[in-house]
Amino acid sequence: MKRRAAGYWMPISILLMVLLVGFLPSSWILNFGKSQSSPEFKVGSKAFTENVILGDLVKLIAKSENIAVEHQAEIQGTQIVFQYLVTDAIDVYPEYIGTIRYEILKDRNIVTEEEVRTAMLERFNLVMTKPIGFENTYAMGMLESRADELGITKVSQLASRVNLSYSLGQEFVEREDGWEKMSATYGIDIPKPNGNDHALTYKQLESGSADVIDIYSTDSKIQTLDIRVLEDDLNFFPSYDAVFLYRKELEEENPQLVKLIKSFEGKIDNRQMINLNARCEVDNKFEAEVAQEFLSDQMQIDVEIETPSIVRDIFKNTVQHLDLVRMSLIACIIVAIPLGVIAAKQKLIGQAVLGTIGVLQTIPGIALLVMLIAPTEWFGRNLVGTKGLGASVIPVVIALFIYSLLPVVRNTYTGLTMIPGNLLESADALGLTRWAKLWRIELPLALPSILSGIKTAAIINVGFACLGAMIGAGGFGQPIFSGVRLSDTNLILQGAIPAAVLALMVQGVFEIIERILVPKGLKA
Amino acid sequence: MLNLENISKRFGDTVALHATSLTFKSGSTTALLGPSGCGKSTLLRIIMGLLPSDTGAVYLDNEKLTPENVLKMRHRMGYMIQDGGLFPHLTIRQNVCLMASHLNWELEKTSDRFSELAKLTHLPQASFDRFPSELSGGQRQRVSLMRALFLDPTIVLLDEPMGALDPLIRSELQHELQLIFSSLGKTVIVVTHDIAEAGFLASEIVLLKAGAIAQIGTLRDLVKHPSEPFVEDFINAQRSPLESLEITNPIASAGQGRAEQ
Repeated sequence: MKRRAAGYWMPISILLMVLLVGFLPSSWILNFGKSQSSPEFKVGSKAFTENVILGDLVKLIAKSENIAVEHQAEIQGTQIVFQYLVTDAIDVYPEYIGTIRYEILKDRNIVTEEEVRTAMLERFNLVMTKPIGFENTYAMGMLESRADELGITKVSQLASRVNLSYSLGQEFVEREDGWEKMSATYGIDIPKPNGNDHALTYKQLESGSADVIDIYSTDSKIQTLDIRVLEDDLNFFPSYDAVFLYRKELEEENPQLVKLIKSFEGKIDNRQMINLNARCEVDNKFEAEVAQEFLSDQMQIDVEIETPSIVRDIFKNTVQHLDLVRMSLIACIIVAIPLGVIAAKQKLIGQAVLGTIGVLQTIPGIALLVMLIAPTEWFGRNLVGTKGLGASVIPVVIALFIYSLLPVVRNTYTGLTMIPGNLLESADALGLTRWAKLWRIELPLALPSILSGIKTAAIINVGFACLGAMIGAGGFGQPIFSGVRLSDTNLILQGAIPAAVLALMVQGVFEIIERILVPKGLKA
Repeated sequence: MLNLENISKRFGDTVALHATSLTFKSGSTTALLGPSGCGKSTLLRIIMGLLPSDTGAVYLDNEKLTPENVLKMRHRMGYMIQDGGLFPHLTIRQNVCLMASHLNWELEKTSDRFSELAKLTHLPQASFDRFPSELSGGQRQRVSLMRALFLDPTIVLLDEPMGALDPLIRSELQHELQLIFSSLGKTVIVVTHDIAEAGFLASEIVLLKAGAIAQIGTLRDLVKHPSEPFVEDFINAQRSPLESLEITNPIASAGQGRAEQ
């Protein structure tokens, strides 16, 4: 057979193959051929120390009975973690009765614990355990020494002491059920104080410049600063008893696990929880270590945990972060370039496409993530046959994909519409078909613009992928969020520095790709 | 043979081309001449099928040009524009051989055809693998001509092929084009606003005025027997430098005068 010039189906199919393989999560690629044993059950936790410890307690107690439970820790916000639970993406997580009343049920007629329990079962088919034993609510606190001096033990005693100085957290001052209602209930008649940063209020209490501050009743600072929690003698603050919420089906799927979850009922009181929080926040222990200690000391259960290692954490975060960026970027390239081509060729559709993508861009990250959880979980269950897809990286990848569409679609569109008319006419005059003209002339001429759009998308994605940690998908956002929560600068840097380095590397890699792919004739 | 039957074209309210019929004989070289906006480039685009005409039809060797056969018909027409229209991302060789790879030619045949054309247009070998931006304007036009001739078309259409070249290169290329066209025996249509170029390259000139034919004939016919005052004006507007000298120019004569003193 005589040699002919290579057609363009070959390079297109090779490109598509590379893109498709590149789209797979690295765990699939690394585990190819091995049988995968993903944990059958998942416990979630919100992004604060106490909740993470409770999540670890469930994970470890299950481990002691050889039940594999994965802990998806530090999910930002009640809405997301609850969304996970109702879509069955997770099986159980620790919650507070007050939060359930005010943020989930939002029903003034449901007041008592039993009413809340019944409502949760009826409305969401979720079981609420009995209280774990401690309560995490707002409370008024004073230094033990100062309170002693003034003889104050109850909030009602504050009313007659108008010369006390207050330092209150921003949230407590602004909440509807915060300072204003409380001071009215107790008849504390002083001008409304300004809201401060919560970390600052502790400093002011410690230094003596403030006598009374608002605190969370299981705060580790209660122990370390020796704070007296004033008794809420008029029962103003709602009950924020901690409980576990789990899916009703779990009782059939694994009764043993349910029994273990219930074994925490009444097990941890406020003093113990404050102590556990302090072990993390003051002694810089990992939540898992603290949970392990508790199980061993209080419940005589010994479990092995993985010893944490910074190197392994950074490696794990890097892999997760790269996964998020890579998968979303490749999906974006596959979708956005054809969209850009259509937009450039069909003016009317083009305006609609560019407009829609612009609007998608304005949806706040967290809202987009919440919106994506339920459909993703449904898709996973009904079309792929896997559980937990909604709580996996997939919603984050989809959100990143949506955010990265704009630069690529727009640059493809611009690149194609900026081609000089005489070149398009020359291509037509040669008798090239529309496809050949697009493939041989238009796309190569638009390539510099398209590549720079992809580069922008990639760099944006490296930054946005930190959002992934908000719903527990890992990545460099994980140590950043944990570090902010624990006021641990080292931990913040553990995420921030690699993220910055990665952004620079992505920039560098794309500049090399541009150098290789852009024909010499198109370089200035 | 190329026949235009009753071709007309409007852009909105403006008539770009009144109903026009023309025949270009096989092997002839015809110049479409006229001022800017006279419709000469519009006519060329209609012949190429790049622009649909409002009325009439184009026949190439008695085959009617239709939207269905336009791609195939274009393979039988070579087209070369003012600045060459070379694709900046392709090398010279890739630009010239673009259609060969599109039509899946054998590599050997492609390479032979390229060498043949390079010889014909005197394109230096050193430039074969360069990019258009690395070539001079004159060389770019040679490449553009090679590309136009690559599929051995029946007719060759040139739109202001030398419009962007300086006078020396222009004259050199004009001579070469004349040689090439006479050796190939193709039907050639060249659009230009330069009457000298039209006379030099073409045996017949079609002079257009505001979308209609003003006169058809040889350069001699146009100069000696202009059909209307416009033809005379158009010719006189492009007088040669020698003629300019004959007109008394007070500044030029004054300067000359001082130089002689």
